[in-house]
Amino acid sequence: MTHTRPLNRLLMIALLIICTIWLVIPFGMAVLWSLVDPAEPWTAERLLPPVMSFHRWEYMWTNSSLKSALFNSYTLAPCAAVLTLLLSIPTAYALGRIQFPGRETMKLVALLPLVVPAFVTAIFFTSLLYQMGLTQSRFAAILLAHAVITMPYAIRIMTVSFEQVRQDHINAARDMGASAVSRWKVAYLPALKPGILATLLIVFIQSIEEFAIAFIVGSPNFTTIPTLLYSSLGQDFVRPNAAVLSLILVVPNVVLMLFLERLLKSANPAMSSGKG
Amino acid sequence: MASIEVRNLSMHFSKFIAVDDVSFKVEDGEFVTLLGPSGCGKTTLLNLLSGFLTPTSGQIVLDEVDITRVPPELRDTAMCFQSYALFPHLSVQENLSFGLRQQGVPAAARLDRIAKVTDQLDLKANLQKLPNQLSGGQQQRVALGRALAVRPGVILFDEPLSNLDAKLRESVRYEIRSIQKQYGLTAIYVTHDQAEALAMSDRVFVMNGGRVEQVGSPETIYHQPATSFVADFIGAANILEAEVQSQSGDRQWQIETPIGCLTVDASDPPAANRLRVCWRPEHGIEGGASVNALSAKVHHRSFQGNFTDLTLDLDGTSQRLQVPNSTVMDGDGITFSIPPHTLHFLEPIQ
Repeated sequence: MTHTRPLNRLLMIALLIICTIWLVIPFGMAVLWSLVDPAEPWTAERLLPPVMSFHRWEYMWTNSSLKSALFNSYTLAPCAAVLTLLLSIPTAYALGRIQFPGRETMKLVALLPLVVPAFVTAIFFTSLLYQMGLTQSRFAAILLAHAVITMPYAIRIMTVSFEQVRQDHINAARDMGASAVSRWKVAYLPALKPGILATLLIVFIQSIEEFAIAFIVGSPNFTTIPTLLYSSLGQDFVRPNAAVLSLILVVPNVVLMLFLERLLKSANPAMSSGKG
Repeated sequence: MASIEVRNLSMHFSKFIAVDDVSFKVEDGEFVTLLGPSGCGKTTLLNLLSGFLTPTSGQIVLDEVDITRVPPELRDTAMCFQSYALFPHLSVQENLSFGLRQQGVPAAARLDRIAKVTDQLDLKANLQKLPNQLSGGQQQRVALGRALAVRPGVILFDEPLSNLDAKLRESVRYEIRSIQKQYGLTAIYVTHDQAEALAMSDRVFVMNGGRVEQVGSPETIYHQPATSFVADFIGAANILEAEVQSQSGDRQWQIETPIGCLTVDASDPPAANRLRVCWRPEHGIEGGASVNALSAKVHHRSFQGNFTDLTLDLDGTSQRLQVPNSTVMDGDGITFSIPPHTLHFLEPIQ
């Protein structure tokens, strides 16, 4: 015990330092950069920007395609989350609840799309869309592509959730004369709820931060926050503007994550196991 | 309430035969126990009766109606699960009313029925609690209440007491039996606990290897086991291989066994010349007698309170004897006798 205590302290301090370097400094820098006033540049010898204002925020809001990008991203992401969830459920049900030869292999195969870089998927997906003549709706195309690339996560999470559903609950519901719908409500849904929330969260975040597909399929007309961010990091690179955009990208995600984290916590594990 | 009949029922899982050509009828209001070791097919049989499994062949008939292929949600049976299978996110009240809602029972009638069940099972104080806030015994009652509330034709129990501690098990056992009698329920109860089966049942079905080995009242099963499996599984038994030597009178046979020549007084004649016989350890009498007197060496003695359990050595054959207040110690010699009417013929030796 006496040996482990200083070691624990040391590890805690190391963790704090790493967290600071990893999270607090970049985040703080982004906040500070977004507040730099154009009247006075933030030069290397100063610790803090000499003049701070919300000028950059106002500028980005009025003079860039930020509004439409926000609208696009925040309609795309929830749609992608719901679509991916719905599309993943049949496969996840099969992998989680039906016994068939090669099931474990199929679970691995379902994860394979993750090894292909998003750019490769994006290029081939775009050419596929053109070949099929499906170019009318960029929104729908990106939505579909996002569903494809986030599907492995959704299938994986939902498979585990379906495995958590207890057969005796399903049997008890059937035994009591429950219809397919009430069986689903009483036996499946409570056990699936944490998985559903986790899937929605992950797909939402993946979709909102996804650049490659949104850029290749959507450009030049359809902007999302990441494509806007990358373009302001590219030829017309203005660091304070990029800082504003990256904060806009990050803040709602953090809020959403905290919110869903609370929801997941309230899904008591004893609830799905049924034993106190 | 209803009667349920099973005709030539078989269940095969690829090559494994879980239930092998079983036929029986359970009468209206009867309490029947399916008793057997794990893997004997009793739970499979219960799942066939409730409809979770479809038999490979054979028929299940409930009140003269063939229900072999009727799905569980349409069967007039209710199951008490070993794991209780209470819905963890529903309160006790909602759990109890779940089946009634499915049946479309109106709210007023539902409340009325639940009130009756909660009165009976002493659950009134816990109606608003979630299952994980209850003790194991209370969860068990809720599971029983949920099954009772739908007033099933046949109630099925899948080892409902196996998760309770020994003391509680005895009181719940008594409770289940009295409720069954009061409601006049037809009940089929699966267990591997022979004490449970003997204490609760009208009839016991002893199962082994997918077949029903013997059917009878608890007394018959205990005192007249049909096979050495039944004799051994229910209570303690000394089983000996024997050869019938001669018959004297109507019901007296002399047999040769590894522990010596014994006289058997039995109402039924032996099934073959070479067969197994058994006697219960508590039927042996310490001290000399004129018939079936034997002497042995005490190999091991264990005091059990109301009796002493002795493991005896008779020229290499081990036998158990349970006697009240014995003073013999390990290694002592002992004489005892087996009353002829307590020896019982079992199956022939193939």
